[in-house]
Amino acid sequence: MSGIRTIAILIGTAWRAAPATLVWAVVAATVSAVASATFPVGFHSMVDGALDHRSGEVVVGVVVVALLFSVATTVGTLSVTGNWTLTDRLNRFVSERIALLVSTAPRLEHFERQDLLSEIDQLRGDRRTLAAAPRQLLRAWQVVIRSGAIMVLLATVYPPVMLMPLFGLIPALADRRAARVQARTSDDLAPVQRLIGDLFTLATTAGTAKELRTYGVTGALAARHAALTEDARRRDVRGAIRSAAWEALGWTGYAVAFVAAIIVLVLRAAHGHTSPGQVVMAISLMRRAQSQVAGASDTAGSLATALRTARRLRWLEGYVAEETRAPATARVPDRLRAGIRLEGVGFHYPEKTDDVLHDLTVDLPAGATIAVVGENGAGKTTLAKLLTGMYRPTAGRILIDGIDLAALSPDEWRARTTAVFQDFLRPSLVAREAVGIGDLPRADDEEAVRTALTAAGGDGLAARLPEGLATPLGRWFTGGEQLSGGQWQRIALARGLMRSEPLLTVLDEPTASLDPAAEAELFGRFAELSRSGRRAGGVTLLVSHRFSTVRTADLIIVLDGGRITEVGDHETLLAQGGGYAQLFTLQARAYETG
Amino acid sequence: MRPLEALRASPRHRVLKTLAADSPGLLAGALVFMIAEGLVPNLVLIAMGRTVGAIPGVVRSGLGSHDGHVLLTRLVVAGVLYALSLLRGPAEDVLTAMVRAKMSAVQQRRLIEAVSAPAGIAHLEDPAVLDRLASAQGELSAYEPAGAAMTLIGQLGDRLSGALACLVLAGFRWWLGLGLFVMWLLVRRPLRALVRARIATFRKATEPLRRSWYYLHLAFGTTAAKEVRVFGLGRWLVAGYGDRNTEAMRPAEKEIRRLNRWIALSTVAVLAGYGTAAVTLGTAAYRHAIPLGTLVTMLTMLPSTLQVGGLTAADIALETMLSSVPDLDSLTADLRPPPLPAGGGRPVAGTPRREIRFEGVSFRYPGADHDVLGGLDLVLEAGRSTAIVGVNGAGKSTLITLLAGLRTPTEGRVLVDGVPLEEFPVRDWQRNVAAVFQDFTRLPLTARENVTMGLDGESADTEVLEAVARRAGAAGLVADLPDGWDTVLSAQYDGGRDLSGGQWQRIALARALYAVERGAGVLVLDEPTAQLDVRAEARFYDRFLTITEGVTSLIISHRFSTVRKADRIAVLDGGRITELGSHDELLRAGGAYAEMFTVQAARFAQEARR
Repeated sequence: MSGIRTIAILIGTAWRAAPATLVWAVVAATVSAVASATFPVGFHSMVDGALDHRSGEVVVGVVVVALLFSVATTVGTLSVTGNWTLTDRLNRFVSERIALLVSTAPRLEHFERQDLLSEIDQLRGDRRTLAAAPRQLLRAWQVVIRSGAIMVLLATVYPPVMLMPLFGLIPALADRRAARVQARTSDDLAPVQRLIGDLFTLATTAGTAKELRTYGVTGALAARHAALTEDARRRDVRGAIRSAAWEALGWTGYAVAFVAAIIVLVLRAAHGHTSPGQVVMAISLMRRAQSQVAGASDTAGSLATALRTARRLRWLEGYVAEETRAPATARVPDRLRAGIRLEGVGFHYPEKTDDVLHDLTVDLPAGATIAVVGENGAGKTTLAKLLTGMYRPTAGRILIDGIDLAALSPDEWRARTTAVFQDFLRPSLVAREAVGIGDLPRADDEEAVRTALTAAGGDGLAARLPEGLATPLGRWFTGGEQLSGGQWQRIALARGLMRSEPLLTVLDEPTASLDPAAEAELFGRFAELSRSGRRAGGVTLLVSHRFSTVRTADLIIVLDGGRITEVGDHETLLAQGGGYAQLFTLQARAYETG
Repeated sequence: MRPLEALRASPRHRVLKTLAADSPGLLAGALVFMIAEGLVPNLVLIAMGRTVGAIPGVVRSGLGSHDGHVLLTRLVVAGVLYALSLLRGPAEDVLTAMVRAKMSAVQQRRLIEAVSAPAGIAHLEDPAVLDRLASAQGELSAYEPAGAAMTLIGQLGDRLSGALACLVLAGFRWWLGLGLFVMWLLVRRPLRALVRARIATFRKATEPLRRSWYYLHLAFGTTAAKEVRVFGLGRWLVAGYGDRNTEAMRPAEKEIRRLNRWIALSTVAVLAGYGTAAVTLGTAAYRHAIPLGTLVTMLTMLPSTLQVGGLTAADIALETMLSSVPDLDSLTADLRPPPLPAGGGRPVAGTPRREIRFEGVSFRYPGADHDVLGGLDLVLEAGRSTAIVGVNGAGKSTLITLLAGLRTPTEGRVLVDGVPLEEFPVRDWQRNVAAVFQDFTRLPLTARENVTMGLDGESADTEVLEAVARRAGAAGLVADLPDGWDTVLSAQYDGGRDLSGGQWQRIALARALYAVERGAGVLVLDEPTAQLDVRAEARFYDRFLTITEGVTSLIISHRFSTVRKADRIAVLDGGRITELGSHDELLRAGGAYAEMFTVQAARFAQEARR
């Protein structure tokens, strides 16, 4: 039953994407199928009419042949072009659907859990099969119509030959076997193909091509790629031969049955039980039946992929619905009074047992700037993701002015947060958009964008761009302006400054490629902004390796192995002489004079 | 262009020629298949017709008669031919798989060769090249270009079959066969032209289409996932894709409507053709002017003539695949490097002995309206380390690509021991520069291969490997990997492991040090500690002198801990070097460097002294 539901989804999708085109495609497919299955009736009339010298029957036959041929041809061609449009529209529709689900799911789990990610990857990769599915379904529909018509017509000749189309099951079963062989081959080859694809990308991407040249391995990489491709090719061909052997076996079986049926008919004709016209019609029909089977098993193969993909889409719809069904039992406060409190917060990644964060309990007071320090892997970024609602704590809770974050709608909470990450986006958009998307409702507000850019220390940048804020960025497209790492960083920072009065600002090492002075200056500005935005009582969380910046924070949290080891302001922590003091002194060495 | 040249240049010819050049055996097999495809179905129809033609005789004189023998013989021939015709399917499947795999391998190889041919990398940043690259791989359509050869051969077989059917009909009435043949050609021409126009429109839309896909890519992918969530960009991105895609596809949809009008119009011609044929055959049959067997053959032959000129899904697939054939050829032709300039054969080994000198070097990116570097002068002394500091966007990374011979200065020149860089074989010089780029490469291969870059399977010198790993601070992380040096550094592969940014940075550093051990004369480090934490950074800083000892090295860093250790420091500002000297000298000079340093130092100073 779920198969039928899935087919219903496929059709429903097509209906929503392009109703008129779908109706037209169905009509065209039906008409051309009926016409192409029934024209042998004309042969029957012409041959028998001529033999018995009945002019009326000959005329009927001539008309039927001429008319049905023409209709089958033209409408068949029209349905080809109709399907073309339908596929394009559907492709767009399905891409939009998947992209929307993937990008509006509130959390990041589906990007980070291998099993979910591989489902999504396959859905994304196979989405074209969904677009092609109505085409396949229409072909299947045509097979049904034609087979029905053929069986009815054959029954008029000699009822037992009606069973002939059933012999089509032999090749159909063999083809299924063949498809399994092929599926296994492609599964076996998947890792090699992925590596081949990765190597190809390495060889053809500017960033990596640089290094291939300085290490003088462009040739070696090409050779490696060629060797892997050759290996994959051999295995692929071996699989194809094995699968074709099955197909050939099936078709030979069908041929035997077909020849037997013809012998029966011809022998009956020889005894005068069947007319020559009927024999011609029957042969013609049985040949059609054969092409039906060939088409049907092809269709079944690609349809199976489409159904698998449709099931994945259904799964994703369900998954996202489940994730989004936020209780939202409380509203996001307009302003923070007390602040954000972590209460015994722990986190481990799904499917992994070791905790990334253990039992964090700390108050982030409203209006304060809080720095988080620690070594790589101490859990700093995870903490930032928990606060922005991209992960849910696996233990404990996060309280926003006493309200559990889990009780808030993720969208509403995020509308009041802003962030700049270490691996910030370098969007190939127009400069104004690249900044403006930090606050979508004001994305086109030139004034707001300029203000944010100035605050991020990038006012000079806009002036230097050839078309100002209307300059397209990124080297990806014609006329795009290429920015340096630091310039991109300004853009990212400006994006993070677009929202006014955020309750939470996360700065996760966004300044790695800025010089220390610029970083310090920037954080100063962020801190100042958040202080001036005190009305809303926003909290600024800053992750940095640079103690020159960290020390300016109101509160410093030292994370080690996922636990809070020290909390306090710079002076206090330094006086304690713990881990913080140690790291600070380590870095200060660089600035010792002499 | 003369007809013969036009034929040679046509994508159809190119495809077959490529196949012929690479595997003549496959082409021969495919051609045999093509002939069978043309011949066998028609022979089946003729045999069946002759069988039916023998029926009346047998009805008269019984199965045991001579007529009965004739009937049975014809039946056997027809049966065997039919069985043969059914085996075309599996045969085509095998051939298709073989030819596609072959052609795909050839195409990928040629694409890699084409983009690897230039010594520089500017072409890989050129959108026109990237477009053609995507198109040649078939990324812009649902059809893989590698399928072109076999689809073409299958289509030629169909055409042959149709033509032979017309020929058989011509045996009955010459004008009937010829008339149908001409009719189909007339119908086909405008249809094919329209299909091509539609595909061309689609291709012209390449840039807007790619733009639409860019939005999709952001919405789909992991790169933007965090910001998409924080800023709630999902719907906006999807709408951006939808709007742009609809816009980009609009002209193509218009073409389809034109195509449909033509198809509808062609009904008249098809009806006239089939009508004439049916009437002619019907009249002849009624008058008994045609034997029964011939009548049956001719009648069943009629639908087969469609293959001369029918438009099928295969035509669309084929035209789409063929449309990207010229891209591959033009990439190969356009990217072929110019012949080596005279005197480009100086040995690189052992350089630089004295210095590398940038003399009035300027650089501007293609299409940009300002120079990134403008008249830069700088000397890198052999065997010593030079650090470059500067504000963001000052052109530091560009400078490295110029040094490595990956780009050519738009003005000025780079001299190695007084010899202009272009007089060295460029590939040898590139190999002489061991560089850790900011966006270093993460190969989905083993740790060993990632460090040795021995992609051709040459055995690595384990001792050197361990030594450089220790110096780069990567020894511990490699030891922790499940298979040590043989662990694949990507969790996407079986038994593979993902590394963190900081861990990768150490692998990249080890890679450069390994190259130095193997004879590279210049070491370049672009932000080598950006992703390291404080302790790792401090360790790097302690090792700095050992790492750069005796090598001509260039370091770009924002971290004074690294910079100050360099023998000389150059401040890059506004595309030129504005200050140059050792840390102490620059501090004494009291310029921009001194200011940057003291501001930072002040933030540490009071406590450090405590």
